[in-house]
Amino acid sequence: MVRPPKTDKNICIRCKGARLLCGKKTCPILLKNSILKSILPFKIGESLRNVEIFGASPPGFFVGHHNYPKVNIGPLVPFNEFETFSDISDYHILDAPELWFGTSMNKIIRYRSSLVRNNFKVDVHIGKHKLKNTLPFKTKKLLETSQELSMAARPVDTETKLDKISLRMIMDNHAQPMGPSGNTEKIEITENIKVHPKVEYCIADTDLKAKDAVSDYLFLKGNVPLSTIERIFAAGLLGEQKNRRLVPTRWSITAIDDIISKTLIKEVKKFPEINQYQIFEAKYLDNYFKILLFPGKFLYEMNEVWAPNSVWNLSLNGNNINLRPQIMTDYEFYQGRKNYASNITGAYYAARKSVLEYLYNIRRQARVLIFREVGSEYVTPLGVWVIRETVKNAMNIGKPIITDNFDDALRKMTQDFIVGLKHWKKSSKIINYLKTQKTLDCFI
Amino acid sequence: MTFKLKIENSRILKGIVETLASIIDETEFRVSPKEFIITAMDPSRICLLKLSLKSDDFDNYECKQDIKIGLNLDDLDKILKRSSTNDSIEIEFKENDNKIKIIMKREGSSRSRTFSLALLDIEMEEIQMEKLLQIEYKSKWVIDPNFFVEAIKDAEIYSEILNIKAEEKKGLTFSSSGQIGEMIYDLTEEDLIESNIKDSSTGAYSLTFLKAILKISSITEKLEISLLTDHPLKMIFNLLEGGELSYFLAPRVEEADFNDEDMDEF
Repeated sequence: MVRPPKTDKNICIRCKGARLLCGKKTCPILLKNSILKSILPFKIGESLRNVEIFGASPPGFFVGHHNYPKVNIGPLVPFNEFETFSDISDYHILDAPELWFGTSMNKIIRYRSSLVRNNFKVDVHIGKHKLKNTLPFKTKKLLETSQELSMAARPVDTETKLDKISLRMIMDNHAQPMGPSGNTEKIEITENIKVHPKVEYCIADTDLKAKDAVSDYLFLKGNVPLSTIERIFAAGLLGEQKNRRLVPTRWSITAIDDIISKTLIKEVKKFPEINQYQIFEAKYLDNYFKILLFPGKFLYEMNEVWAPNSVWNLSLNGNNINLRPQIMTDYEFYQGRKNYASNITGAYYAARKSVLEYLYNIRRQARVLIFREVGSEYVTPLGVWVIRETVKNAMNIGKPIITDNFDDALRKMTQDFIVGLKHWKKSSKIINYLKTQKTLDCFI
Repeated sequence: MTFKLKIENSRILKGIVETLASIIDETEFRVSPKEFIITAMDPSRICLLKLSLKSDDFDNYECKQDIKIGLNLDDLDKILKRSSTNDSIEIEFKENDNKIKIIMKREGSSRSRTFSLALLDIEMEEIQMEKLLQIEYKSKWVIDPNFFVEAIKDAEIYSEILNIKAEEKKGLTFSSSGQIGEMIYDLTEEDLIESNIKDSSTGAYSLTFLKAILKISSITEKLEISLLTDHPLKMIFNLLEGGELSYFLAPRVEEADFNDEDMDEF
């Protein structure tokens, strides 16, 4: 796995948001700070004791991945009321990335920061009977309430009591915007929850494999929103009884993308091939995507580059020296891949899901090549939903540019990019492969 | 329209099916009174293989007519993997039965295990091999498959392409190069079991495909390879007494020069 270069530890202190030594267009720390200040009544680093919160959970449920398998979990509840929200159902947007496409970065950070994480510690293996019986009564109660809350299809009025709530600013490039968190004493749902019928069915069926529940029942037949599937998957509500476990939110997002796209790949391979070179594109939050679909049996490759001085491509000494473009590549041939796409990680699966959904809808198969260029305005990473939704938007809204050969298509692919085609070609495995590998058709 | 095939040693059949399953998902078995044939081309049309086993290779072979059946190789592989080395395997097909039966028995035991596998209704395109078979190869040699497997594993360190070079009087060279360095595997003519190398031929082939087919090296002792510059690599594996597996793999060629002028320096 290639890691982003280490940033000089002192640059933020030397800069204090004024000189933008990191090369971003705005200081992510100040940005987060100003948003947090506007929605929360206390300072970063401070903590409050014995806080009671009453609010409409979107519904949200979070499973941490630190200290796995003994992880911190708990529902997300907004700290205050949102002035602009008039009805309880408005709160749904706070934790529903599938509805966020087109929203400004500030607004999204605001959504994410306004939710308080209620934490309590529990072992993830909740499906094992023995363990369930040995859980302390309080934890068991908290777990059951949290699970119930996470099933909900609409925001739920929730009352929680935290013995301590604190807000930490994490000066880390990896950290997504996060709101305050605290240790939970009590969670109470103050209304009857509404559950999607397919969700209810899958949760009740303790012999149904999680994979089948996710792809067949919830995604294909149920049309259940992706954030709901992710949430109940993370909450350990799917799968065979003995295998049920809590899945850290970060992992569950990619797991769901992977499960769904694997099912779709199986179907897509049965469809006829497309007969044109089609380029789709979309831009959102300075993430520029170009997607090329071209004739042939299914294969998939994603290349991404972080333009110099964007989030992951800082110059090594904190100086603004342009680095050579570092393009990362992951790919799979017709047979699929067996290991994790460790160069591109979650984005690989998120984009693959959106492309396959499109191919499945048009009943065609194709070779897929994706280029992603991230500019310096993408100040802080917001999550893989940015990739999933942008690609989805590119496929569904825009009309493709059509060319009739591979070379032209490749030229069009990099037309508006900062990084030139030769760099992409050098990194890509599939371009090289297709250009050099002959088929037997020439000899038959 | 029935057939019944029996083979005493499951190892060979297991090896064949495992190899096939790594190349294609489903295929057609053709059983005729004289031989048992499988032809298959991978979905990307890069490699092609033909397996033929003579009726004498089997310990029991009953077939009166030509029969074609479609099977899912992954499933067949799973079933055959359940057998142990000294099990005998019997494959049985009855007319109008939409499945085959696989019966495993162990020597000196009356216990028997029967598995059935549903047939697939697949339309295979007829693969024309004549032209491929007519290619006149300049170099041909017979090699211990283990040498070849070794060369492939060595090459994998550096890239995904294996270069093969055969030169008259000098012998064979396998090589591969990548960013970190290069590997050269030299064999003289004495190292080969038989050799007939004329002029010089070179070729580059994808390691992924070579690796898949060489799973079969564990059940064969001789491997015949033919090479001609920029033509498919031809390999023939001898199986059992009279059976053989022939395999063609399309070459990798140098990329035609791509116009880089309009690409500015980053």
